[in-house]
Amino acid sequence: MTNITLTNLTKIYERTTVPAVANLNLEIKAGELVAFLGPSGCGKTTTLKMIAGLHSITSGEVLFNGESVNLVKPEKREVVMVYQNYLLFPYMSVEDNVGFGLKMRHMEKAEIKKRVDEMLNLVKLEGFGKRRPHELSGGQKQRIALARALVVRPKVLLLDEPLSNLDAHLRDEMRELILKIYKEFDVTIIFVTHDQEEAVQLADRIALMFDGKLQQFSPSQDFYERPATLRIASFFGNNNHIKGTKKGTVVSTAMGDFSVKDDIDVPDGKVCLVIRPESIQMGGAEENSFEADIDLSIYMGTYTRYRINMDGERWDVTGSSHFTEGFEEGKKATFSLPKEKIWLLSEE
Amino acid sequence: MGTAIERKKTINPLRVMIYLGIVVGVIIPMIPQLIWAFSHRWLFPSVTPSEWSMRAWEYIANPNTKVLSSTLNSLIIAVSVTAISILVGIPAGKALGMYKFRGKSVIELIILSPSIIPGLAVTMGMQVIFIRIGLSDTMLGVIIVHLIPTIPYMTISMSGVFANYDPAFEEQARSLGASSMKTFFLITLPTVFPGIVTGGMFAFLISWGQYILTVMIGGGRVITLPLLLFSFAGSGDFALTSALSIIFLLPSIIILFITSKFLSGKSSAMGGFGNL
Repeated sequence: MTNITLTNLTKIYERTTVPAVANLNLEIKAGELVAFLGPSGCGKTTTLKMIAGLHSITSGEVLFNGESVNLVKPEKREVVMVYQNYLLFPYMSVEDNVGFGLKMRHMEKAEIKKRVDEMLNLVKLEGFGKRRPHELSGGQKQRIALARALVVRPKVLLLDEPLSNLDAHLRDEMRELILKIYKEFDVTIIFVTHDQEEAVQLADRIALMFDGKLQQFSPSQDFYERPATLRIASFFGNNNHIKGTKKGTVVSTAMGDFSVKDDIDVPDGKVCLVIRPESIQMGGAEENSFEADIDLSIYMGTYTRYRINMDGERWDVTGSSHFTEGFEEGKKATFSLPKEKIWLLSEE
Repeated sequence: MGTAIERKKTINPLRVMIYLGIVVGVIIPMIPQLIWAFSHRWLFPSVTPSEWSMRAWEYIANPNTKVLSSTLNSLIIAVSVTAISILVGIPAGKALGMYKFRGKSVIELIILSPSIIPGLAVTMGMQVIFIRIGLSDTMLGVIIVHLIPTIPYMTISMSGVFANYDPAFEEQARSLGASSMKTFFLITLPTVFPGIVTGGMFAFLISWGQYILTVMIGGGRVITLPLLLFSFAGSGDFALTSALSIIFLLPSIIILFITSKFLSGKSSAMGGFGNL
């Protein structure tokens, strides 16, 4: 098991001045499944490649179990990267592809054959050994790429956008396979994605990056319930916020006063009140109720999305499709904010 | 996407067209030559020669004539030119195909310039210099002058190969435990190999068929097959000229068949990345 520490990790590409990754500090526990999440160009893949040793480091350190690996060559790190476009060697059979890493470790042919067959079994592609990569479907290529990485029993597995090239139903299959691998092998897994849903569904913890900088590193739930900034909230699909002034457990806003939990670690003063679309309650309640015009209602099947308008302040609301009476487009309706769902950000 | 078994059964129309093109454009026009090479007398109205003969071939096989030695010269020159073009063309093509750098377009133009400026003009100037430094009338001089058209060709065809090459394959191999040396031999080389073979064969053909450049720098001392062929063609000995042209054409035909296999692309090991 390997824990990974990044200290002040910085990458500035040649002929650029803005760092692709800036002063990244991160501690990944041994045997953890971590997602690097962020929009494209945020430095997540660069970070992954610096961990793998495939990109040089401008400054800072990568430590495995407390020891710097800055000078360790990529082939000696026991870190295997699986690329988004699979990169199966096209002129080799599936068998030779999967066995490549073992051959590089000078293992005997019979042993290689045995382990390759085991791996093909694990990814449910037994009998595909003699095929060529171009004869496989996208999902099969992905599974072979995983098998090729795992067969060498790496200490760290790095996955670059593992699900983004797959169809919806294959994604579920691949997600299950990754989780199965994660349970069966003693391996630390880091994967990169731009899709917050993918990150949430797979990872123990998410490292969110914008513009080469780490924004928040915490369990996925926190990104929904306690985002560190408005930008993070918005990245996770939450654009509902209003400015106000906090005094004790009451926040006064243009929409009225709202009472909040007493354990939010934000000082009195100017704050920003944040609430997720699915946390807003349809209908009034004992406290925190308000009236709003329904500008738009979109039936989405099991749920319905509303755009509500409170004197120019526009919020999104996601409600169950079972309770739509009185919430038709163009009507005025009452909503309420459950106290325990309100999150506050300090404006100072 | 079909399986391998299905693919073998279907006829590839591209491949059929390539073979048909070779037969119509290359083999059929060669038939009269083939007949000439074995004839003694073949006058206009008759469909077949009135007298058959092996005279031309006996002449070619005779070690006292210049045929064998000039064929050997041609081979040595063409092989050396091919080898040097490959050695220069791979790194140059990689630089042009994969990297962006300042002055890239200027360098591209310089590499292309020998094929834009007539070779004769360049060679005239080179001849003067070669005489001065003693390379004129030598085989080395001829090899150097043949590189003028072949290196640009090789570089351009290699830059095409590398433009489609994904360096991430090398990273992938490294991360699976291959050293940089093994990565080069097991990953980089096999990937660009079809390009090297195709480019190299054409470089060979350019050198093999070179007349003007050889005459100017070789000064009549370095006799290659095209030079010999030209002088026999001038003398009006059709039988010998035809026999020589068959020998002269042999490498082209062999190479044409090999490249047509590469170009129609599905042949297993050399599929390159075309099938990805």
